[in-house]
Amino acid sequence: MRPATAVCALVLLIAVPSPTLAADTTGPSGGPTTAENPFEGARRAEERLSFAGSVNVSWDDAKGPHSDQLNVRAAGGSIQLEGGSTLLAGPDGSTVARRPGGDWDLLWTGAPTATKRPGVDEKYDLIPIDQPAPTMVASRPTHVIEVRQDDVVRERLFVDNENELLLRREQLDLTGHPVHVVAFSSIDLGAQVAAPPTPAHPSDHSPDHLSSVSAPTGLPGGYRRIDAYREKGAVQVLYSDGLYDLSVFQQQGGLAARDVPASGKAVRVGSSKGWIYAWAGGQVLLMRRGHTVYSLVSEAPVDQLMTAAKALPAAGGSSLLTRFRRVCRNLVEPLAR
Amino acid sequence: MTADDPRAGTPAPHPGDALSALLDGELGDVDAAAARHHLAGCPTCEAELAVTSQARSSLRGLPPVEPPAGFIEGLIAGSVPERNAGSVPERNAGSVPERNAGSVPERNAGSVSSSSHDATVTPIGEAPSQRRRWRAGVAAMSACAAVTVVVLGVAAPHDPPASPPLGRFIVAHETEVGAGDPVSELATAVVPVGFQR
Repeated sequence: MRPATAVCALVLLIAVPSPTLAADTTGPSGGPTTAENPFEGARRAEERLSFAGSVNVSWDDAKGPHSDQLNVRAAGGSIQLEGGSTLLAGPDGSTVARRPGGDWDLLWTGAPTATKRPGVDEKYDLIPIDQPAPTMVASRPTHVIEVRQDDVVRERLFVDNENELLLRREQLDLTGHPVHVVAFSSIDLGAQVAAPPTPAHPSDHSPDHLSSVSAPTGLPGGYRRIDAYREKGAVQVLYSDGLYDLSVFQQQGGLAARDVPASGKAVRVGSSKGWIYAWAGGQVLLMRRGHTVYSLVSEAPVDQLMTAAKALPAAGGSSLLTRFRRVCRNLVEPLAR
Repeated sequence: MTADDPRAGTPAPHPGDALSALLDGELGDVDAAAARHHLAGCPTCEAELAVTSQARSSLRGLPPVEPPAGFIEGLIAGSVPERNAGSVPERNAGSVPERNAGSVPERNAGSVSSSSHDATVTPIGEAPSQRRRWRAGVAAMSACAAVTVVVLGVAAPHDPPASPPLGRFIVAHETEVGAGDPVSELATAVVPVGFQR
């Protein structure tokens, strides 16, 4: 090979990296081969497209694998999901739920959070995966994007090649096994889909916003406090790491045996005992610390949930004076009944 | 004091005993405003305030204790003569001597030489009775202290159960569409939660 040809070949190799090389170049320091945020593209697609289809939700818990099927239709920026219950997400970001009697409850107003969420790329890498052929999901070709934290693949996203719809979303455990999957099993794009009816006057059951709250402004793992609400007897502090939201519900009091569902997995969170429960979308960690009961609800992987929970404070001191006051209160309370 | 703490990961301190002072109106304007600000965002202190307020109301709402019939009369009859024997001798002339007749004269025979029944209330004759009361008082206080220590140290007061509604918490969390797209985020919200108690 002549030197000029060799130089040209080298330049071509550098300037036009192969898909395989792109897929292998990963990690925060490995190279900027990250994809555009696929969730933003999916949100835009769901707002502008009309479609109807079936979605399969599957997840694993201590009892084994579970799955459920639900119907989805979207038009005019509204999305309706029907399964065990019915939810309607409006174009303004609000969420309403239909009660069994047919009336609607407003569960979320769509108001923006007090603090903007971190960017997903602050903690995760979005890596497009090269494939010899598109992966078919609901009979549609998709490309795959992996969401990686350091070298751990947290999620695998299957994005419609034509319209950016997110047709399949897998969350993986640390062994690479999918533990939460939401996937279209069928979809009819461009169908004559009527826009879901918008309830005229739903009952307002949305949480009250709190302008200030006594809670950490951040939790380990890159979770930042973005807002706080009052949720019927509890304070909900909302955190986000850019990909997952984490709700920390705080209540004053103790945990009785009947408050702890039997299907949980007992865990140790620092010096506290806790229980983890899986539901279709994520995990709940229930624990008591000091005189506070925490219920952490999140789509985040269990290891992140546990790390964040360890940093939660034990509110309510046990000074002698405090204990004396509690004793006096306990002596007086029976008299008041 | 503010509920927000600029230091990441560090919550603001709780008002603690200032809550009782707030209820009693003993806090200054600034401290009271700070405490109320903290209460708005702290379920722990809010619950503490509610319970303290309830206990306070319960105490104040207790009916006055009615002494048993004859209690006051008996109390007066038993104590007044010894304290005020000199001033009300007529009223207790018949009772006090009998009460102490058996004990005082023998133990204090040398000092009780007076022919008057007032001899039973002289300082020398009163000393054993006072010592007994002193000892009884000390014993009672010791018993109270012991009970307090046991209650504080052993019988840890229990908090009322919080009874977290996990299913409702999940719905509240999921219906707020987060960083993801609405379909993948809300799809799991319409699936019934299976681990309910």
